[in-house]
Amino acid sequence: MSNQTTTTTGLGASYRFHLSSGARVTLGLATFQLVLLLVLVALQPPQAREVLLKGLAAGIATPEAFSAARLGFAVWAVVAAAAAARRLAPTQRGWQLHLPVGLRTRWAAGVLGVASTLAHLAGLWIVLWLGASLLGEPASPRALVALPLVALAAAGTWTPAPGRVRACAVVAVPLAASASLPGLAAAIALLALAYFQAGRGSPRSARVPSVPSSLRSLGRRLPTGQLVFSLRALGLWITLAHLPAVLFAAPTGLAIHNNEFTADQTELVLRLGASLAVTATVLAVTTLLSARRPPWAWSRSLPWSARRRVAADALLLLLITSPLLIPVLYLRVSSGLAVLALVVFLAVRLPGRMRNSHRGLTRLGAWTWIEALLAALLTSLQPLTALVLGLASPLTLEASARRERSLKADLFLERRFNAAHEAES
Amino acid sequence: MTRSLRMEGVSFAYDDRARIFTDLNLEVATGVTLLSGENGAGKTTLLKLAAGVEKPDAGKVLVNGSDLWRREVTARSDLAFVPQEPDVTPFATIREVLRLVCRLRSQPAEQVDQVLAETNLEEVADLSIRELSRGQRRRVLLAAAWIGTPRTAILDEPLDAMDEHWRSRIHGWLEALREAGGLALVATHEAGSLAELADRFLVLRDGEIREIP
Repeated sequence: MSNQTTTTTGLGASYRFHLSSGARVTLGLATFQLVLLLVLVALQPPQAREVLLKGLAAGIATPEAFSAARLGFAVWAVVAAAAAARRLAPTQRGWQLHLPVGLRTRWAAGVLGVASTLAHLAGLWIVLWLGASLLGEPASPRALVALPLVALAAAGTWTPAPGRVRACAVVAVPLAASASLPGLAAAIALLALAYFQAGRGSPRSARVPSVPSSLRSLGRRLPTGQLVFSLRALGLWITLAHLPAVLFAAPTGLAIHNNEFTADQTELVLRLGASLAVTATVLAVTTLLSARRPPWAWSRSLPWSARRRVAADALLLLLITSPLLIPVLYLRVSSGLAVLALVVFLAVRLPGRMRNSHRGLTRLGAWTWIEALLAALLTSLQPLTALVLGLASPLTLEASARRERSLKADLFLERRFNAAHEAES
Repeated sequence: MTRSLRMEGVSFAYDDRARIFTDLNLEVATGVTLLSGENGAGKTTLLKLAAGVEKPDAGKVLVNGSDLWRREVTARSDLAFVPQEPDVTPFATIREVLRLVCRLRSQPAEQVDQVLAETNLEEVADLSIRELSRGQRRRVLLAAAWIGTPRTAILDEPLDAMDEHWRSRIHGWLEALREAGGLALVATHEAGSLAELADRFLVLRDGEIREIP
């Protein structure tokens, strides 16, 4: 019998495990980020696009310590790393803790795993640096050295660890992004300190930073925590909530920019694009919410009304969608008001539509989509429809509250328990 | 004020193929009422209907004279429900859940710390329900039930997953509730340990309630 065994280090094994599980899943989010970026760049007029890309390249490669482009990329890295850390978090606790891997090694593997999910960002950084170099802009090699440090520090900001470890990492992010010699040295020192600190303390203190303290205090100030609980259920997916809107806003912007429309035609196109954009966003958020937020049957025994629970969902949808209304209101107030009425109607209608006892909550159903799109089209073609929808909103809220009352809450619990569990892991 | 819980002509089914109750009538008055029945008899569903977690397909449920589904807030303002399965959102910490209960029952926020201390949950107050043991999870619901000292309590297998200390605390709570003129409807398989407190015994079988003299 062959007694041949393959040896590996704890770091290597843990890192490979992360790459094949949480990190791989999270890397999927990179596609959305890159598409969003490409759409935003493509929306610019040709001259502005050129200036933007050249400016970004110069900003990334510049030897100067303060660079808005590098800082912007660092912020992006921190935000993107948060999504990855949530996926990796389950492997940093529970049963895994009994495996023969030290705390320090476990943390380092986690950081490397999270940093690996920033590959798209790193690729873009390198391409922009090379671009600056080819264009003859001053390109500092320190800007390239800063890249892995920014990625590691961003990853360390969210990787489950005691607070002091994460504090070291978060301070290292802007220092590394400065790409100055003292900044880079300080960032390296802080990351080394974080590494040594990660080996101290108990695994229990390596809490997953799933509930930011700012959100906790926000929850205390609000009259009801339901809004905040729903936001947490959406998690970082909320950052993608406006992506469907971009798919409509981009062609609308291009159509208005590249054609010579009359004022009425411009208003019609604007209203159509905006209506479809907000409808897509509201539908996307409702779908996410229904898929990720587990039912909470017990809370129905508390002294609050079904109307209040539905209204909290409506408020959430309004809050998420309202930024889309700002440019429309800025361009044409009348169109903006029509779209606002549509948003209010959908915000009170959809919380009711997603409460359906006889169907899994993970989808809204085709009729809901048809109904919402019809409302959007009618609002675009005949702005008076918005008045009707606005006036119908109180009745619609009541109808949604009726659906909330007649919900078979336990039936949802049975069907959706696993989905609810998945939402956190 | 006399507490009461009434069900009038209640019908309920999770789906049309399996009707659990048809035209059920029940009246529970002040004191401790024990409800027993075989597994699957519908005890938990009955308590959920009484607590306003599920709405009857027909009929009505009145808590202290208020219809649970017409005067939602009034009917629930003096009601505490402790389900068998601790059902708390994973997107909030224990402290936040208790704060929510405080707000909804119009109680000062200081009560949160008070009930956390009473239920020995101070150390886990900032954790999510997922991070707690089953016994701790049940204590969270007990803590919620004690906020604002509601006088109408509905408890589903309250002794389940509880050690001796907590069993005696629950006994003490029910006793105090009875002495204060409150109402407790308790579903349990362990009638023996709670029998000394009970004023009334009910058995649920085939969707009907019978009283044991």
